[in-house]
Amino acid sequence: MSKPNKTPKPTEKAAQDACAEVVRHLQADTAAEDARREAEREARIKAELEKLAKEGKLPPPRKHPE
Amino acid sequence: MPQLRRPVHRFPVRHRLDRIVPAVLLPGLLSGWLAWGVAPAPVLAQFQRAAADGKAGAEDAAAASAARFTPPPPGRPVTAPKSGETPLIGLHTECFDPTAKAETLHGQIAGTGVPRQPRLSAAERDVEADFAAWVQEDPRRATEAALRLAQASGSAEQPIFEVDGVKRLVPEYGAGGKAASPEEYRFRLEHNHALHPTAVAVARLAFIERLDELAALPEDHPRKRIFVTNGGCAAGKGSLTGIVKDALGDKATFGAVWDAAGEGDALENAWILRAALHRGITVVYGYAEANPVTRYQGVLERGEDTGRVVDVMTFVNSYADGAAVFRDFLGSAEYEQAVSADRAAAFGINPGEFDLGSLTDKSKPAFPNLRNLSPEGTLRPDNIAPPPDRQAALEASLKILEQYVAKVRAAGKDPLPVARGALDNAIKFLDDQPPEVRAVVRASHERIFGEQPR
Repeated sequence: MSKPNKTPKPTEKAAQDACAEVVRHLQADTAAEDARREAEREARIKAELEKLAKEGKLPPPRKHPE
Repeated sequence: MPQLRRPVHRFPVRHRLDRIVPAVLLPGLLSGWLAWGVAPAPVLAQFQRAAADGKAGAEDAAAASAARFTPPPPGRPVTAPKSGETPLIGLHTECFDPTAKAETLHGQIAGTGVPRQPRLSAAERDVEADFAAWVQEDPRRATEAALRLAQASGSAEQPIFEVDGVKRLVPEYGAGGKAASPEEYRFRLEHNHALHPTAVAVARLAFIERLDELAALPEDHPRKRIFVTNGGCAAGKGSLTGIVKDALGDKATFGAVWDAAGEGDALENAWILRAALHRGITVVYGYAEANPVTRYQGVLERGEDTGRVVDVMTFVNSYADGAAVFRDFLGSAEYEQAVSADRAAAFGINPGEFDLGSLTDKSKPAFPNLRNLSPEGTLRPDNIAPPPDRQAALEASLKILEQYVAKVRAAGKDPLPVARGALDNAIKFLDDQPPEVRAVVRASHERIFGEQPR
């Protein structure tokens, strides 16, 4: 990948860094690590939903489920 | 510098009020827009003309439409699709003032209500009504729940906001990324359209609340920067969000991530920019380019796993409208000015096709044709490929759907639940489409289900 020929401004640099990281990530063999992180993320979401349910902060089950 | 303009489409989703909105809906639509204060005079004039001119000609279409769909409740805003302005499913961005504080928007939702889809079946309307009523009852509670989910998806410092994640608040939808039971699976397949606008509303409220928090940070704080994904459905946006979920890890310094649903057709970008600039926050946009002709297979496979199927019309729009809208946004005066002031920047990638051979041969790259769309610097309109031919993309996607159905049937399984999510859910948009679109969708429906759509 060619490099920009000027010094980027901070926000532009943040975009370029993010792009480089995406490219690096897609080129690397990260499937196992990604799967592990995704499982952890799913577990965090489920745990938060359980907390919200206990606090009564979720919609009630529908009265007439199909 | 060019102004943000409405994209020109080969066959836009026409806002033909004389055909698509039953006469009974018009008063509610007008009063809803007036209540939101979002309908400019020319639009109101258009509505008034439609009301006057369309009475006679609309009766047949309205009667047919009314037979299939249950109208929204009176007095609530209605979100009607309009190419380049409002996606087929979702909300017009003007529903919420991007400069308003979350508290103000809570009051707005509690007062006027969540905007409703114009056309839903009776069963879908019930699901929409229940979710919307829960949000309207206590918008602050809904926002808090969505914010906490976003933090669980990312982290407290870097929450990830995604519309589909908000749907998990609904018990029947289920808490998991995948459906945990046949009931959850069926609910997801049948009610995606019913849940989507309310989920968009709640996600935007929670996002604004986070932006209000970020606004209080010092000017040079590294978290005073947000990341926004763009791309069609199943285009690989997950890879973009992955830079914060997986790749960057602790190195990531965004204060929030808006993981845009492809269904939004990239229409939220300008709204997000205004919301961020008003609060002194900078924005990095990431765009995943892909060829829709090859991507619908991924939607169907994901649907098998998760029960979440993007219908074929929404899918094609997410590429055709999405690319056009994003190009226009990058060329807009608003964005150009933000770039000049170093308040915004964008990058784009085209991952190309995944090489299955890389799974067994580790010397092979997973994405051999991966491209950075703007290696010279920030992304510009010219870096974005022209929108795909809509009819060709639609026909290719329908072909993929039919091949999928044949393959699943050959394996002795039932493909129809996924096929219904893909095709039956698209039927509600057909009235707005030109004859060539209606013809190919109806023909495909007959080949798959053995009958014309109702």
